[in-house]
Amino acid sequence: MVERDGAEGPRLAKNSMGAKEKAFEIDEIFNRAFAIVNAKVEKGSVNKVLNGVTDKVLDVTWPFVSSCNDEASSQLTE
Amino acid sequence: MIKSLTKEQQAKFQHYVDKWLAIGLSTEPANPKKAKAAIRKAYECAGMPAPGQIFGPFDCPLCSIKAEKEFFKTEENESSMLSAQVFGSMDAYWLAFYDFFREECQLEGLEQLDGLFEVSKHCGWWTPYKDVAFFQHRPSHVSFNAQKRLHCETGPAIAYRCGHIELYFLNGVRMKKEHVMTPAEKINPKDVLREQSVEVRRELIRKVGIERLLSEMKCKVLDTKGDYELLDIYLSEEVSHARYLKMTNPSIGTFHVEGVEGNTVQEALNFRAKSIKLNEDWAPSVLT
Repeated sequence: MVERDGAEGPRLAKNSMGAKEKAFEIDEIFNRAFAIVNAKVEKGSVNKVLNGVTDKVLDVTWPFVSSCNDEASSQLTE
Repeated sequence: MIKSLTKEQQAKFQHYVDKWLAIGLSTEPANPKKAKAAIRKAYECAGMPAPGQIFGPFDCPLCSIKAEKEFFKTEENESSMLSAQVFGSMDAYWLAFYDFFREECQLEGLEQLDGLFEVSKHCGWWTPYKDVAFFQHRPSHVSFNAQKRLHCETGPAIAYRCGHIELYFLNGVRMKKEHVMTPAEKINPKDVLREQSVEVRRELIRKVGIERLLSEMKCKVLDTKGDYELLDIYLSEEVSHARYLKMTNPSIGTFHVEGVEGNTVQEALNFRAKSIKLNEDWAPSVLT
């Protein structure tokens, strides 16, 4: 699952680290955006959207994303 | 500061779930022209100059890594190159969150995500390097059951165009290809009972059918208690009296058959709970 630490901001399980020529950190973009939401929206409302929108999309898409990633990773290490 | 969401805003939750599930689960081929424009926009939103070259669409993450290695002429660890890929359309869960606040609350400052919103609509995973980017198609096939669990009884539940990645699932459980593609009547019941994963075994039992599974094994009921049956099963000459506890999972209506020790249902239940320190017989219904 994606690690999420409440109002501290999202930490994605995957980011653009690791390649020598990386352009930018997608983590940082999402974290900056999360900081904006946190600064402008009361925490209870943030959590309502996390529960009512994000988690519902995540529940369906994450097994899909993670299994693709796991399989690709597994084939690379074979 | 937004103190609370209105009822009207909260009523829009499902709209954003549906919108981003459609994007996140899309199997449409990447649109090269729109994907490249979106990637350039993503760089600009990140404060970076747009890449001079954008390659793609590649069929899958592995195809992209192969192209990236050739381009950079590097022997860099392939796993780290996989880690460098970002999810594109599959970033849907976070993008849904920000899309809601952007559209329904007119929250300023989220325009830095505009490029990522666009990328998600036009391609699958992608890799943003300095001066060059690579992007991929989305998978060509994704299949779910009615409960939105990955599931396909006739082939892979997830497949990419190149065939490098084909993933088999039954009711959300990752299965081997042969588990899905072998007709139920050709699956050996002994192989089902030998399966180590509880979830995989459950799905195999569901596929084969508990009645056939038990009718084709030399099987004797030693004890019953409620919905539980303690079975004595002949697996081989070496294992002629294997004990299995047959039980139902009422929440999903499936049978479990699990290897145990003991001569009664209660002993078998206690065996299953041996890691739990109890001074009395284990009653699963109490614990759960």
